[in-house]
Amino acid sequence: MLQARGLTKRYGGLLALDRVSFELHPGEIVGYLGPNGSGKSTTVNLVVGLLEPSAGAISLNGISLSDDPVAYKRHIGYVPEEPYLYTHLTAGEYLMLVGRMRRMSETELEERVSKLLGLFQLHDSRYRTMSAYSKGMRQRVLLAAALLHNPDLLVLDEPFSGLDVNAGLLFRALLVLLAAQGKMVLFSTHRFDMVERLCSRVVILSAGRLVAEQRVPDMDRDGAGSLEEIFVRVTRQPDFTPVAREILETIGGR
Amino acid sequence: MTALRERPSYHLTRHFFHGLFDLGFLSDAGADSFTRMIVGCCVAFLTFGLLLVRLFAVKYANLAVLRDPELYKQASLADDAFLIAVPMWIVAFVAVLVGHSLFPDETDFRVLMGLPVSRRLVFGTKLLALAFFAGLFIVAAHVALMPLSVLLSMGTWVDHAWPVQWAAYGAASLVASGFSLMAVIAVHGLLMLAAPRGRLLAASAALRSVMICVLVISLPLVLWLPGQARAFANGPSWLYFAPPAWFLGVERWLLGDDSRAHFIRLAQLAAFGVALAVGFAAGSYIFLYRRFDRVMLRPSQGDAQSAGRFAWNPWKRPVGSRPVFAAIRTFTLVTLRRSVLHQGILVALWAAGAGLVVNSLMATDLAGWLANGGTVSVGLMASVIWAPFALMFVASLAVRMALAVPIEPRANWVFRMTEQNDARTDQLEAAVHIVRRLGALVPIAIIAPLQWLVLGRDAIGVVAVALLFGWLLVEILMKDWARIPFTCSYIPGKGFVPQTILTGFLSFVTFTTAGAALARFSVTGRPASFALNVLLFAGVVALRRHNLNKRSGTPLAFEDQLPTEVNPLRLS
Repeated sequence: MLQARGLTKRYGGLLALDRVSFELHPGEIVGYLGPNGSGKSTTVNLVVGLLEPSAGAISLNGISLSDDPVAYKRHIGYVPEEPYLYTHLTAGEYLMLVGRMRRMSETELEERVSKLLGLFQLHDSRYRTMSAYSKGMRQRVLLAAALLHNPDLLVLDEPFSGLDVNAGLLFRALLVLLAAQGKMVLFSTHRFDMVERLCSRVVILSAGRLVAEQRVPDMDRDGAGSLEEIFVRVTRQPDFTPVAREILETIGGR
Repeated sequence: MTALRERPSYHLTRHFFHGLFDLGFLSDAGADSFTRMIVGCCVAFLTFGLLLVRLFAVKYANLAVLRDPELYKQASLADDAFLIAVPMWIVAFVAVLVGHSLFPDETDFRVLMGLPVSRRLVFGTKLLALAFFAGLFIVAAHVALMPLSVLLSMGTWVDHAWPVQWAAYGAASLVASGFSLMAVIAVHGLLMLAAPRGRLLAASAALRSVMICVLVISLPLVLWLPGQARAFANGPSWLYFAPPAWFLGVERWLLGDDSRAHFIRLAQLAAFGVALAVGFAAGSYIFLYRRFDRVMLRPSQGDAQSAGRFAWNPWKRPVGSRPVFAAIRTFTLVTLRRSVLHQGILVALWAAGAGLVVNSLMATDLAGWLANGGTVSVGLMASVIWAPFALMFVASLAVRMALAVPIEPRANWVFRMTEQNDARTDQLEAAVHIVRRLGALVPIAIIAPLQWLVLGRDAIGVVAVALLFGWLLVEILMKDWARIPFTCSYIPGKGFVPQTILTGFLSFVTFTTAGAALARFSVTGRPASFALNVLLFAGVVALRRHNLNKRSGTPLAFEDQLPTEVNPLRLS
């Protein structure tokens, strides 16, 4: 189980995250929603251990991130929002690098890399460096690298951006099966449709604070409305129609 | 002015011009530091120009005392060639460094062709930016050398009035610098058009490294020109292979000097060379202009696949029980092989060391000994013994520096995610291993056959001492190393630059002198030399154990820091 307690992050005088707490249980896919600047990416960076919290604690299956970051990170797979990769490597080389850094056995690693390249439709491009890959292909490499060591927790930051239809469908099916196997998935996104289809629970953040947490299947039953309606309400999103009108007027439309 | 600034051509030229200075891998702090370093280098170059005036003024005062016009004129010819060669070298070097930006590339194609700008505008502004960029260096080099060129034009036995003499030099030197630029563009253009797209990156990296290597090694030859006064007067065959001599021919032709026939032939060679370089450079540009889309979008998969199938694959090497060590070692080797920037840094500095060694061996007439045999001179023996130490020192620094420069700092999250305390030593040792191999073992391996030729069996003792010293050097250089290669941000010129240069120079002198002295002593076979070597070995082993212990507890660095000491010399 992933436990985040009282997570707070300050950048100088700016409070990016204010005492956020949530849990993630085995078999759960949790959608993590929030407008830009709400602290979503900060939370993701804290959960994967790339940032240190100013206050609060995170633990995974009883392993505290602050006490034993190495053991903690061993159980995490991460797909960042922007596909930052060493693009002078081929996909296979990148996966080999990550696998060896995670000290996987060589036989197992080679077998998995070869299979994953095929399954993620990267086999035909295996001799090309990733500098020539599309964003979707790079996302697939990142997902393969995140899954390579069979992690307990998968943290995905906008995983569907840039993916083509087929890869998107594969991604969705994969997440469902991973959850069915008891894996945890933390899924930061702007896409309400994906959250409604995939997630068992949703956590909504606004201005660095947790403003809503709800089980997705219960939303209709509770009469809370659609996810989009809940989001607009709890994050106090303004009506954008006047802004849209103003944009049209600015460019000379009617 | 306002109208000019509103034109797309103004903005595009500005964009391309700034792009030529963009190294891409520096953080904001690193870019600031780099700018300071560049300003420092420019000031140093201008100071060097003024220092040359002082040196040459003394030289010509002494020549004037001899009252021999022929000697004076011969020296003047050699110095004119030197003054032509320096800006040529600078322009060529800078053009090679920005080789990736000499032509509109795939990014330009994809970004700019989607905008309502014509292809003519893209190519025109690219050329204009390139002209401004090259012009900047051509002007800077000529301004720095202007006092010296004026001094030479005003000499006692100069045949023409100094403005005529100076104008002829200026014209010839400007054409020579233009030739340098065109030659580099032509070579890059030919490569870009001829190489398959899948191999273009690797071919371009290799070409740039070769060109940097040739240029750096040729630097001692440029500095050697003022000493070749007689050769310029007599016209030996090697002059026809030295481009600065061609343009000296142009200068003499402009001055109407028909006293020596070889100047006319050199001028003809210059005209042919310029025509060829301009022809190929312009041809490449025109070809690319007319087929921009086809060149940029030609399929690459087939090339890459065939290249990949037969290519060297270090990922297949056995990893043993140290997968993390193997991962970092392979990542480092692959990056050095594929990254134009890192290969360029490595090759340029490595070539500087090779240039030093070649210069030293040339000065002791190695070529003459190899051709004619005979007794080995004391100078040649000393030079051959000294060579591996000099090359190791520069090469180890070169490798360390190449590993310190990041390739994509934003991608280093993967190393942060996979960091493991008990693998820390392996992570850092992989970098030490690479520095040891490329910085110490390769130089020794390159020079050992020459040492065997010159020293016979004594070479074994010299190689053994060189191995020990190389090992010691690497352990000292890497004692504070706390990075996975290419993953930490980089701030160049962090220290006080003059102090760094002085420390580096003194370290070089100490290392090479001590190493060569011990090697010479070892050749005598005295018991004391054996004892010294054993002591050195024990010292190196102790240092290594200390470093290994330190590495296991060193946190990895992913952000380079400016030193907290503001005034390292404590002058105030």
